[in-house]
Amino acid sequence: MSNKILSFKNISKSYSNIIALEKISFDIPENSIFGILGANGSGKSTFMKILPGLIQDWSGEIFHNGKFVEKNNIKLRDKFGYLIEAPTFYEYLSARKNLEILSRISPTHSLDIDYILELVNLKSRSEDKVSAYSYGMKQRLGIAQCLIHNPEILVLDEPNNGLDPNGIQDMIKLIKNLRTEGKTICLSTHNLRDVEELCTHFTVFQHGKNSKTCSMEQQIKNSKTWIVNTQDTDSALEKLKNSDIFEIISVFNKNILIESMEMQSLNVIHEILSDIEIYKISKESNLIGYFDASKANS
Amino acid sequence: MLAKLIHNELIKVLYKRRTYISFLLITVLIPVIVYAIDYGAVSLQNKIYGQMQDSFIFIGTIINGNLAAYLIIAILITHMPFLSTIIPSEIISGEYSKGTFRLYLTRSITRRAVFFSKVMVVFIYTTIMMFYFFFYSLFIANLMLGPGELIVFHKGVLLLSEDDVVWRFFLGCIFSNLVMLTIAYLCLLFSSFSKNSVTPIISTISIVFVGTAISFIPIDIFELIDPYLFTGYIDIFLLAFYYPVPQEVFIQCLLVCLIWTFLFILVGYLNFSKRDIVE
Repeated sequence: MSNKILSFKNISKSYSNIIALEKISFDIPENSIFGILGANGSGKSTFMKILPGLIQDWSGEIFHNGKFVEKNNIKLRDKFGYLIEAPTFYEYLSARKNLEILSRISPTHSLDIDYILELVNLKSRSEDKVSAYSYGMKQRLGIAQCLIHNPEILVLDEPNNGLDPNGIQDMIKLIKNLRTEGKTICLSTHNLRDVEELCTHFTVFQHGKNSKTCSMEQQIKNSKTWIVNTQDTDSALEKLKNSDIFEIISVFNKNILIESMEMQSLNVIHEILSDIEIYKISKESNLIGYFDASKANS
Repeated sequence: MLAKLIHNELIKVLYKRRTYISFLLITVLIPVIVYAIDYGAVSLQNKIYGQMQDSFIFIGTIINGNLAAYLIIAILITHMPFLSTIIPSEIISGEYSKGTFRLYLTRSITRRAVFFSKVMVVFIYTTIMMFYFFFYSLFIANLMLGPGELIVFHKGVLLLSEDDVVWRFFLGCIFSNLVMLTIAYLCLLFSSFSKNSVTPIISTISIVFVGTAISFIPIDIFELIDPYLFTGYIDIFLLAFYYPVPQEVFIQCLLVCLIWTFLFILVGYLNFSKRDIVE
């Protein structure tokens, strides 16, 4: 794993007699897109509120670049940009006014508001009141407010929540762009697809506990699940069944999802399906399997 | 940083429509009342000074701008606590309920600074509103009815010359403002506990109501505690027109209001600084 920009050790939080988080520990590598995957009520949002100090009463330790972070170290917040839960703004103000308010209390090296609005594609609507914005626009404005002070780490709580397919694609593109600009992004989601498409690393939250950090690369490498996209699904199905190496999991839209008994290389599948026209063979991350395994372990 | 936070809070307040409700009410209501006083001057004079007409001969009318302003303020001052809760009721609870603290408090600012910027804005709003109320009343009343000597009752009839009136309005305004600030900070305290803006208004007005009732009910125990309640000074404005001005009451009012204000702000701050923002 590359340099750990953030480390969490034994983070716990309870509300009266309900344990929301129990000894959460994981590391976030620098310049990664780190996904916190979990079902609703698994403790993701509670966890996301701890770092920015929205939740005050918790136990555990946080390290930034290996240095212990004091609970009330507000200076460190300059290094973070937060979008916690649904995007909320002063709805009676314009997007620009909202950003001006936040810029005023950000460090002096704040980015230009026009540049940020351009980045999130809201410049043409910047003078409109936020109350007139769609959910997707608010979500993009949420990203804009995260970026206003040019932080090195972005913490995004369910950034794709409530977005339509176009909005999700825009958001994915935006998050990937931010990574290429050198930022580290930590996002929470209950959507496996988000993690598969976006994340370089992830951890799974279940009932306030978490699995160990896993890189997506490693997850794919360890996976025995493949997806075969072909014109002739019937022939391909027959050949795969006869091979006795693969188990058919499902068939959908000319796609066959298969799982191998042992670790197999791409060449083995190609060999079996050599006389069939194949459009694409790709290895699946099998996050659902990982998620289920975490569930069973928790 | 505090100046920047106050700037932000002022923007938030100035762009809200509710900020202007009290100013709109005052602006519209006062000329109407002054007009009504002017229209019914003779009958009003008879009602107010009816008993004295046996002892005094009035030439012309005693109704003038100063008297009209005095009457308007004396009547409306008891309703000002409601107007003074409009901004503080929402200034914290509104941000809880709308979730904007999730934006604001994740910045590199302390909750203490955020809280005190809100305290300052409540001070600015209440003070401007009270000064507007007093001096707009005085201005409109004098504009419509003209200046003149002010006749008030204090140990008999007290005739105050034109020159002796404005500073008394000013003194009354400062101390009435002090009482309204205490009420506004009580509302701010409730706002720090609440998730909506209605509960702080209802809670504050209920306390003012109970406090005022204690001041008016002539029971020994109530008379004993009344001097220590800020609600007992809501009509302190009237004392500014006594001769001589009862300084000891004003000093007592100052101390009582400052102590209550300090307590309200302290408890509000302690709650605000510890509260988890989970909304």
